[in-house]
This record gives sequence, C-alpha cells and structure tokens, in this order.
Amino acid sequence: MVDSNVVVFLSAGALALVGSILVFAFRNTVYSVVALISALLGVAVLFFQLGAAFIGALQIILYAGAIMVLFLFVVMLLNVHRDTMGTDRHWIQRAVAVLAGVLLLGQLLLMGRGMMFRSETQVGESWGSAAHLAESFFSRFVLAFELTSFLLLAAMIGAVVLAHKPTDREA
Amino acid sequence: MPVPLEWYLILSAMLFACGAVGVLMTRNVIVLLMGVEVMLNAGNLLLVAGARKWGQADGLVYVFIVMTVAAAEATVGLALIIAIYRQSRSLNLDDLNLLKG
Repeated sequence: MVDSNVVVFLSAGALALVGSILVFAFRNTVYSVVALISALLGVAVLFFQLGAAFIGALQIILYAGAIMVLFLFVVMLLNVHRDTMGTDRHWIQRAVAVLAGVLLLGQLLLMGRGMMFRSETQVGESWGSAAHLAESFFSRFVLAFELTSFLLLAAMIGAVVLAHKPTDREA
Repeated sequence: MPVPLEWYLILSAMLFACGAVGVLMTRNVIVLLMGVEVMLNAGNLLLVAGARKWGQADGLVYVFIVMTVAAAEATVGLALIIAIYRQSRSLNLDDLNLLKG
C-alpha cells in the first residue's frame, strides 16, 4: 500500500524537477516561462505538504503570479526575433555545464548526508500559519521586515530609471 | 507516515543543480534570469524543510525575505534586459561585448 503523502511528494517533486529542466529545453521563451510557472507550482505543493501554508500561498501569488507575469510581459514587450534570442545550441558549453552540474549535485548530496534530517521535531498545528510567521516577524525580525520594504522601493525606482526611454528633449 | 525530510533535501539539491546547469548553458539573458529563480526556489525548499525540522519560524522568515529579494532582483534584472535590448537589439549573451577590450 503506497502512502498518499509519498504520492503527493513524488508527483509534486516530479512536476518541479521536470518543469525546471524544461525551462532550459524550449527554444521559445514563452514556453520556458510556462514551464517555470509549473515548476513553481510544484514547489508550492511541497510547501503545503510541509505545513507551511502561508509560504505556499505566497509562492503561488507572488512568484507564480506576479513575478512570472513580469517575465511574460518583458518577453512579449521585446518581441525578439529568433536569430537574436540566443537559443542556438553550443554543444561543448552544454557538455561542460552538465558535467559541472553533476559534480555540484554530488557535492551537495555528500554535504547533506551529515545534516541529520532524520530526527524530526514534532510541530504544533499552528506551525507555518500567518500568525506564527507574524510573531517572529514583528518581534525578532522587525528590522529585516522594514528593510525589505526599502529594498522593494529601491528596486522599483531602479527599474523605472533603467527602463525609462529618454525623450528627445532629455537626450 | 509523513515523507522523510531527507527527500526534500535531495530534491532541493537536484533542483539547485538543474538551475545551475541551465545558467551555465543558456545564451539567452531572460532564460538565464529564470535559472536564477530556479536556484532561489531550491534554496527556499531547503529552508522550509529545515524550519520544519527544528519546529521554528526562522526558516520561514528567511524564505519570505528571499522571495522579496527575488522580486527585487527580477524587477531590476528585467529592466536591465530592456535597456540592453534597446542598446544592442539582441538578447544573446555573446552579442553583449560592449566592455570587450
């Protein structure tokens, strides 16, 4: 009898992994964005399974929603011709990249072996809820929370300045 | 029976390696930025699994901050891509050789 948790983990994990691989397999960038959205949704399911419901919701709304729509808009806005898209294949570069990736994966797994994830702490019902997160945010991490708002403001101003097209009068 | 947390560890490592390979192998600036997002997500998964392991909220707070940084990074990165495209009419990394001596 296969456990339902295992089924959910394996299907969501496969969605995340296959989506992440397909991002780099498509020649059309719009397909890549859609593949990345499916990968992000797979990871969101894993967040829900771990019990971090608030983070999972943020993942869907913020990542799969807002950020990926931004990507789609830029792809659509630029309307790039295929020749200048940078999707031509370079086999030596690919081989070296895959080799480096396999080595990296081996190292990560070797490192992770010593992390002793086997002994799990029992967590309460409220773990991962918005209230649980807010308790930390507005006590120990309140400075970090305020600083993220500055970061977003700076990013917004930076984006406007960078993407701004100078008019004839300014130029 | 809940899924053992090591499985999340392994999946996170695989996702990270996948994103790293993609970043190394693509020539398209937008796809490169998406590879970074994949790697950030692998890190997020590991952070949530770690927070679950210790039963604390710290890891979740870090995930929130990583998401904010990812949003900021995507915004500025995409704005840069638009500026680059205006300059050189190409998204191929090999064409961006303005600083080449």
